Amino acid sequence: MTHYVALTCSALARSVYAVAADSQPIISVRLFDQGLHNVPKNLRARLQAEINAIPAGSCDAILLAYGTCGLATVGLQSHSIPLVIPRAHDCITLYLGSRQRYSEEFDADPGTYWYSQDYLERNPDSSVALGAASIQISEAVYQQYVAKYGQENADYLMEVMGEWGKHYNRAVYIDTGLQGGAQYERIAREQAERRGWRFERREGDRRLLHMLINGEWSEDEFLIVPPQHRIQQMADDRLIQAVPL
Amino acid sequence: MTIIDELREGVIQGQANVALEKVKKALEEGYAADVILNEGLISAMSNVGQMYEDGVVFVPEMLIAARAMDKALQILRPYLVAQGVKPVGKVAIGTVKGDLHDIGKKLVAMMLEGSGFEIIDLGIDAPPEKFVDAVQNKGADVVALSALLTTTMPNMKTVVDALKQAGVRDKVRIIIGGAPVNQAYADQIGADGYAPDASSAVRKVREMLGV
Repeated sequence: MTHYVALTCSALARSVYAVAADSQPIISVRLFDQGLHNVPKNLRARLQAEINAIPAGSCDAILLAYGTCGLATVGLQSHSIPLVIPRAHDCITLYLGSRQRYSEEFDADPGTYWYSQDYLERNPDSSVALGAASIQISEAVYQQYVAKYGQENADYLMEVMGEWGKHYNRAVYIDTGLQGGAQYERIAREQAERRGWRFERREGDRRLLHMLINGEWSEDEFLIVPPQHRIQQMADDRLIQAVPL
Repeated sequence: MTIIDELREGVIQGQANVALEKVKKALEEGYAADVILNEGLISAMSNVGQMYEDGVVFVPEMLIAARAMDKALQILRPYLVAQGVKPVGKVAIGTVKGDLHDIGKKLVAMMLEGSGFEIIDLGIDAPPEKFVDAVQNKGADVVALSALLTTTMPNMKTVVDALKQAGVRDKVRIIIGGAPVNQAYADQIGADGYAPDASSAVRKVREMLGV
């Protein structure tokens, strides 16, 4: 029986569990906190440590339910077990089901803040952003700034570091169609209203995750990293390639 | 401690009011504007830049130091002009098309300005034509491109290609920066250089122009 270990960002937890529950192969899902994304090299180190700890021969492939995510997954190395990763900028591609669909959404409105159920239920203090790397400064961090740098500097930092939010104009809630989503859609809608963003809703599509988990890895949409190779960034829209260690 | 030392210290600590007060005092005491600039402001910012590279301070400290430097520079600027101090070069800087994030770009622009460069700020979401225009019509010596997202970094290449197309590629040096890019990417798209942070960006631009 085919057995894959799926290293999964907690932002995709429900979607990956949903696909894994109904998959052909045996899937062992291992979750990693979405907040790791804030410092990509920490996320990379955690994933690499996990990859290194999986004994040779204990599974057929290690799946990465990630995109390049601020280059966090670039540089990851396979040892004896191949790695498989979608060719994706970030989790929005995995939520929407294809690179093409994400790129259409992005081109239509680059100033989009994305929401999903997992994102909201596992990130109550909004210390992470889905997809793009900007984060909001929480009240707690603001108070730390006041204590450390004084009121005036703290206000300046809030203004500068929060400025991206003023250039955003759309919030999109991705509905994955799973239990309990409605209340999070409501939260997303409220946040959007507070920030003056137009609110939209999109149907999620688990197509890519389904392909990842069921071993349907087309060259165009997935990168297979053979043993003794590492992931390298590419300048074209394939995004990543495997190069020998 | 001389007044210049106090100015430097005020900038390093990110105390805009102190920096303002000290720069005025230094002028009153008769220090030449270029001495205040070089030994006070530029020296302070390279100090902060070094601390950032060494992991001693982080982006917030860099931002408030740059702000203090910027406030002092506004007082100093007319004196620099009167003294005939010319900008050491002109840099057109912007966040590429589709990218709305500009903390990094802002910091690099402030650091460059504090180091004696004239800045043409093309803002965020800047289309390639703006960069071409800055080189063709505004005399930019350097084009500095910023991107935070892997989705927008390909637009850096679009700018390089547009500069080639307009026949001005060899008139200008191109430097790139931002979370998803590195030297290898700079090489792949035909830029002249890459800098991982604001203080190395200043160093790199100086190197490029030989100033």
